[in-house]
Amino acid sequence: MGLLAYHPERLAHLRLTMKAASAELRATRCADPAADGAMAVVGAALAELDHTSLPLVARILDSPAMSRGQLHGAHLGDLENSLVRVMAGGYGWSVQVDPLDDDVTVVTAEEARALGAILARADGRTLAQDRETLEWLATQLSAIAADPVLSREFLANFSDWAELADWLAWSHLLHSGGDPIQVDADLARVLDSVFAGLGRIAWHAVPAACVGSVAALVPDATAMNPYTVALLIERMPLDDVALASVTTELLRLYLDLPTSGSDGPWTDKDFDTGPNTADILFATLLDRPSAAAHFVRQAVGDPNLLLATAADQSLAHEVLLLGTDPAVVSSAEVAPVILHLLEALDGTGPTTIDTSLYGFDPAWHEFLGALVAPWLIEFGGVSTTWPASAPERARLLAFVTTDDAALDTLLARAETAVASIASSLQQGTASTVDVASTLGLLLQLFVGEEVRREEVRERQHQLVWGVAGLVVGSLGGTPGKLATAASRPLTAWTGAFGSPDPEDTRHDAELEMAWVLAVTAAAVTSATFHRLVDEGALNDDVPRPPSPDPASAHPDHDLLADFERWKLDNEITGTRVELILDGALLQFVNGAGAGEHLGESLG
Amino acid sequence: MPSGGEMSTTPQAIRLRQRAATMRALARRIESFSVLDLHRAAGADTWVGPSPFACAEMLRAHRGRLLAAADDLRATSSRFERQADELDAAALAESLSGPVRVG
Repeated sequence: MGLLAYHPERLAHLRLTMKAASAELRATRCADPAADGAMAVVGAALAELDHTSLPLVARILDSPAMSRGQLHGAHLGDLENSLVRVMAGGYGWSVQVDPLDDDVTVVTAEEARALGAILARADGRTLAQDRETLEWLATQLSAIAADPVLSREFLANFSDWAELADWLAWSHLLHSGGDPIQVDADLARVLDSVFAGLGRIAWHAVPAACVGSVAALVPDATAMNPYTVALLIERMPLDDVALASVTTELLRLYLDLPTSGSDGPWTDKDFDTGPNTADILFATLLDRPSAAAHFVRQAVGDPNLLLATAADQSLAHEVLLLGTDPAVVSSAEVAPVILHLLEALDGTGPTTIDTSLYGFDPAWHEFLGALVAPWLIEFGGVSTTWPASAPERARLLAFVTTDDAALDTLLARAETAVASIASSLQQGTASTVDVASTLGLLLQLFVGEEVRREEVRERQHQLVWGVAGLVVGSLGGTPGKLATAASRPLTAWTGAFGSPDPEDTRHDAELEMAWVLAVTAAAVTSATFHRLVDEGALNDDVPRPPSPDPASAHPDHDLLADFERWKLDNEITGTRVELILDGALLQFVNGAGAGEHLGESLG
Repeated sequence: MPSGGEMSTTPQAIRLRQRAATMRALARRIESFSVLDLHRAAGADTWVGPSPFACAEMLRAHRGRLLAAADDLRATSSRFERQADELDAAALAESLSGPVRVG
């Protein structure tokens, strides 16, 4: 049961007018059957006036208004009675109990105005935990937000948002995981709905030209916590560029935000757990690939915005992967993002990220493998797309691949890497020379990684057997016997597991690399040869170009020598066809030297 | 000329025109009802709350139905006038096609 408020004199006047109207209706007659329909309408209006409206007005006028004490007992102060409270408190109207309950999905302009006025003065901390009132409020705000006129009526009276909104956001934070004991997903959802309503209402007052700034989007935004603003803008229909700009601005505010005083409202900076400003914004960006791409490009000047803000850093990683996906950004656009990020993490950039900070996601290195996977060709020695020298690019890629987890991630995404290279070739943004160069670089990085692992194994070996030798020495005895005692198990161990030998490992790995390059070179040359025969540039009786010799210890060099001999034997040397065939072969067994050389310089 | 009302020639046409006038008069009366303006006096300047809101909505609904009824009455009136004209035209045509009186 709700409350109603009325102006006694005006209501008395209404009763007189109703009576006159009733008399008019009653005096109306028409016997023509063609008027039966109209007379039925007249009769219905008369019946409603006589049996519903007039008795209601009469009952109100004939009953005493509620006293101050009765009003207090009837919860006049509740948010649900905002309009009655405004009319009674502000205009001196009388109040009585209303036999009808309010339809919470219907809001009048007067109710919207009154709700705005009362909400602006509400006790935020109490309201923020009053589930029942918040549910009612969410429904009312949703109805107001659906109508621009009602939204403007509400906003005209809803001033000083900041503290109330911050208390609501504090409750949202608390019940979303900020305090593990008070997690209440249902209440957090209700608060989400309240913020969605407030955000959509605020959107109706946003000037179209100013959507890229927080202050233009949310009244009092500068006095609010970033977490609060994030909840408000989350459901605003911002375009991609505006969402990216606002996200960047809010994350800067978040990073600069101090912890709160003891009186609250407390912010996400005051809690060690639960979602924070960045988590909310990143989750929003994950549904908007283009916005994510704009954001990472805007934010990369300060890589901390990307990697040192979210409580759940997997969200940051997902946003970065989405925003650097070749499906949404070009190579030129993504270049500063990946280069700055890698420089910030390896400590060579103008801004560095302290990955040793408490709470920094230990999986950050692993994520880098996924980040570079679609862009490997840009790291190749001859690529000129990115604004960094070949040695710098090779060093940054090596920074990624020297981490086991990152390398595993990169290898797990080999399909993505190959698809991306294929796409670059298809679109003409990369040539086979680029691919050869990238292949050479990767092979050298992998060789270096294998050697590094063997060196670690060698050091382990030395440590373990050094300690074991000390134990044996401590038992006493002549040096010769001791040496014999120690050498027997060592020999047995070496026989079983192989003695660590980094140089041998390097040799084997480089031989394997040479094989990969030689086989690739021969395959590409053979394909080129067949094309030349088909085009008539070579006679079809010319034998095929040579393949690598499986018995060779230097397959790439031997292939090159065989190739030179084959050209001489078949009178290809010195012809235009020679240039074409050289171009196919030398980019791998010799031209790939750009990549090889870079890889060696890292070794 | 039937439509000018100068020479209605059949009793049925006369009756139809009388009924048309009744319909128009009733429409005018409905459009002058003070109940049509009651929703203004019953608005938020006078009272607020669930019942006052429901009352004002009811008055608005009745207003809409009464105005629609007045429109229907005018349409019925026009139909009666047209039927009367058709009856008069038929009677005139019949009188012109009868035997010629030789004087």
